[in-house]
Order: sequence, then structure tokens, then C-alpha cells
Amino acid sequence: MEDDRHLVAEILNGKAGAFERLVARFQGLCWHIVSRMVRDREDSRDLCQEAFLRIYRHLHQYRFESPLRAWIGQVAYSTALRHLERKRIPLVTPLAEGDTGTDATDVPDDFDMEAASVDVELMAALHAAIRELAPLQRTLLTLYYLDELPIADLVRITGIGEGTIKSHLFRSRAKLRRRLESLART
Amino acid sequence: MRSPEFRSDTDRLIARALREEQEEPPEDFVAQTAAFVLRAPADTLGDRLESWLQRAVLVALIGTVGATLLSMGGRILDGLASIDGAGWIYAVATCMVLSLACQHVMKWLEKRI
Repeated sequence: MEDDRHLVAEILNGKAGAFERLVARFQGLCWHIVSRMVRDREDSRDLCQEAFLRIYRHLHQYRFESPLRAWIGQVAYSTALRHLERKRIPLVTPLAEGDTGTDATDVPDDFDMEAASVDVELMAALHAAIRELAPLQRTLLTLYYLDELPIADLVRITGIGEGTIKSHLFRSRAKLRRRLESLART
Repeated sequence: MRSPEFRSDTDRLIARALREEQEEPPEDFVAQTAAFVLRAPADTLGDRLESWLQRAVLVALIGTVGATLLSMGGRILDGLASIDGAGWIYAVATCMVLSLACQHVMKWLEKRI
């Protein structure tokens, strides 16, 4: 948090190179969010740049109430969300009836997934299954498993309730697992 | 950064798959973005309009408060003096509700950045 304060202060004071350091530090997070949402490299680049422009213009409004990464993630998410809304792309598939906010890691794990995954074909199937997920689910999975953000940050970034986020993670994980199990047994 | 507790092989496998197929930003993204941001006009027409509207609302608010105090200040003070215990409870509850509503509006506005 102290690093965040120092960096923000330097940018607001117009110190040369400070904004570049912010972009370098958070480009991965921003890119992961936007690219998982829109799935187009050119659009991702334009939207990430738009997000950083917004961050630059509104940085004086950041009040350090949440980690800087969550605030920046929130701007990136809302930028990508507007893009999807303009293109009328649904953010998420409807939740199944009776689906609750079960913890993402609560699915039984008696199947030896790691051993099965040695198969390149299985890995390719997993990649395909990830691509088939709805934009929101892809993004949440990436932020949780790849960027290793805590659920609290996902709540801040997306503005979605904790239970709903856990439910999306649970459903995505279960879907990927089912796909792998069905392939491994054929 | 706190890592989620990956309790199972499935979690590690999903993380691996995400890592393998995740595209990363172009190598020159930092320089491109910094140039894009610093080259962009200081503010757009929309930003200027928003700024002027905010000032107009602020001026209207201050004007309204001033006019209300001038015309009704005495009666408001008399009314406050005559509020009994239950009345104060309602007044405090109303203030809390308004405060919470303001916080929600501020959060909503932050999301619209």
C-alpha cells in the first residue's frame, strides 16, 4: 500500500517516468481482464490503452480505500464491460436454478486430474473449454487462478457479490472438470 | 498478494491451462500506452460538459441552501428547538439513511469512471 501511495503521489506530481512505471506494473492485470472479456487482441490493446487513459485522468479520485490493483482492475473491467454492452455480447450465462455460492474448491477431487492431463489432447480440450466459457467466468477464473487475486478483490473489481463470484468459479471449475473427465474416460 | 489456496490437482491444472493460453501485452505496450495517454487531449468535450454541470449543480445547491436559510432559517431553528426525544431519534435515523444512500451513490459513481 505504501508503494501504491508513493507511485500515485509521483504521478500526480508529474514526475517523469512515474506513469510508465504504473503501466508496467499493472499492464498484465489490465490485459488479462480485458483480453478475457473481449477475446480480440486489437480490441484488447485499444481498450487497455483507454483504461489507462481513464486511470491517468481520474487518479486524483483514488482514495486508497482498496488496493491500487483492485481500483485499476475495476477501471479495466468497466471499460471492457462497456465494450461488450456496445457489441451486445452477453457477459454471463444464466445461473442454473438452485446453484449456490459454493466455494470454488469444494468439488470432490477423487479423480487423478494431474496424471490425466499429461495428454496433450486433454490439455487442448481444457484450453477449448476455457474459451467456451462466458466472458465473466473466463475473467473470474483468470483473476483467481492465474493472477491469484483474493475473492475480495474480485468483488471490488466487478462489483458482483461474493456469493455470486464463488458460484461462477464453482460452475466454471465443475464444467472444466466434467470436460476433462469425459475425455479421459473415452 | 494473497494466493488462493489451491487444494487440488484440478486447481493447479486450471491455473496451468490459463497460464499456457493467456496472451500477454505486446512488448512495447508500456511505451505505446504512455505515448497515447500523454498525447491525448487534456479533456474531451464530455469531460468539460461534466465539469461545468458539476459546478452548476454546486452553485445551485449553495444558492438553494442560502435562500432557504434566509427565508426559513428562523422557523427551522424554532422547529429544531421544539423536537422532542422521539423526534430526534427520527432525525438521526433519517441522517443515517441519507448518509448510507450517499455512500452508495459515491460507490456507483466510482464504478462509472
